[in-house]
Amino acid sequence: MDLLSLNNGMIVWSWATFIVLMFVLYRIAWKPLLGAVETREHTISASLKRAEEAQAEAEKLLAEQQKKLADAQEEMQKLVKEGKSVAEKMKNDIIEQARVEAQKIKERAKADIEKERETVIASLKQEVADIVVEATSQLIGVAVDKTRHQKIIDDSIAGFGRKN
Amino acid sequence: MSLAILRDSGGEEHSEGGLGGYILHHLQDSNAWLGSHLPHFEPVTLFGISIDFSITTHVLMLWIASLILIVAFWLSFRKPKAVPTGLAGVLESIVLFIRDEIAVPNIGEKLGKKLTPFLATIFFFILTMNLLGLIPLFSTATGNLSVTAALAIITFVMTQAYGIKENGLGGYLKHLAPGGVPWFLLPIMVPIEILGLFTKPFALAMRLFANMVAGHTVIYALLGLIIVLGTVLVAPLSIAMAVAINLLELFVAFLQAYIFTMLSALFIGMSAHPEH
Repeated sequence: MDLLSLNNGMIVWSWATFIVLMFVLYRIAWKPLLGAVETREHTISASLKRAEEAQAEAEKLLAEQQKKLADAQEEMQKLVKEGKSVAEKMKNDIIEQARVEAQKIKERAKADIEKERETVIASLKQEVADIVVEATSQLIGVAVDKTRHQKIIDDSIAGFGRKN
Repeated sequence: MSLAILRDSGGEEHSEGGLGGYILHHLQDSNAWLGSHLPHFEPVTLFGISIDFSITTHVLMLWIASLILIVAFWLSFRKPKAVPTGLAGVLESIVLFIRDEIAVPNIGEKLGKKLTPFLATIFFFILTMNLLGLIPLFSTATGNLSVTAALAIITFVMTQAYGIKENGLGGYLKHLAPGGVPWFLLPIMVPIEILGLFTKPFALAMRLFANMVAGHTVIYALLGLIIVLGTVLVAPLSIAMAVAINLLELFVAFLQAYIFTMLSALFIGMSAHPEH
């Protein structure tokens, strides 16, 4: 069959045409087209990489800021707590001091009163002794020698004191 | 197959063989196009082979297809743009499809990108010739076995060349004996592998040629029914069916261009990386 026969002229023409076409298309189409596509792909992947980097950077910054904020809050709370405890201590100190002061005043007053009482008692004793001596000497007509009988008087007064 | 020139010489043989002869005549190459005779040269003898460089209709179709492609790509890509629009966008997406879906998966990243221009040229060349054949008055160069054989031989040469280039001559020859085969089967396997080298491009050439011829034959036969039956009443049916087949042919034009490109990439890839 004619249809299935090969014509070597046709084959050579096909090769020649194909090779010329490939070189011409390479110059006018494949090289610029594929070059542009490669450039575009590089641009896109570079942009994507940049965007990713920027996002990572932003996330890092955000985390840093959050950490700083948390730190500041913690610091503030610590300060407040510290202030509170200082105030508490100061209050307790003041109260304690006041209490001690009051105690001191009370004790001093007690001591004063005691001293006063003793003085009064001593002078009263003296007074009583003098009166007794006077009265007795008048009663018995003899001057009671104060110095000689001092001991007896004192004993009797002391006996009063005990009864009272 | 004879390499001799068996082409019929003119257009005055319709009566021979009736409708079959008429269809055959229209599928074949000829020396005339649109009523004018094309230049005829005396056969030239090179290295003892007689070659007829006469310009035939199919040679003309090769050139018209090339011209269409060159003009289309020149118009599209003469001003480089960051993002192509219109025809340039369509052409670019097809080229990218060839690069990303045909070349790279079959041949590998590096070699695939390097061979994309070759595969894209094959694809667009075959596609344009297939589509030209669907236009009335034009003929289908890919319906000529010599043209498809020439293209298949180019693929064959590329396949062997990259097989040797990637694996070295030793590696190339070693892969003719497939691994994992018992030694006593080698006398059978090696001839089969060698035969396989040639059957692949043969099938490539035959597939494209037969697909193109078959579609046209069906269209001619359907329209020929009108003449054979001698009545115009069959015309509506004939024409409707012919239009349907024509639409199918449009699909086949793309499909066969794709298959030829795909298989070329596959063969080159298998040869360049036989371990896969």
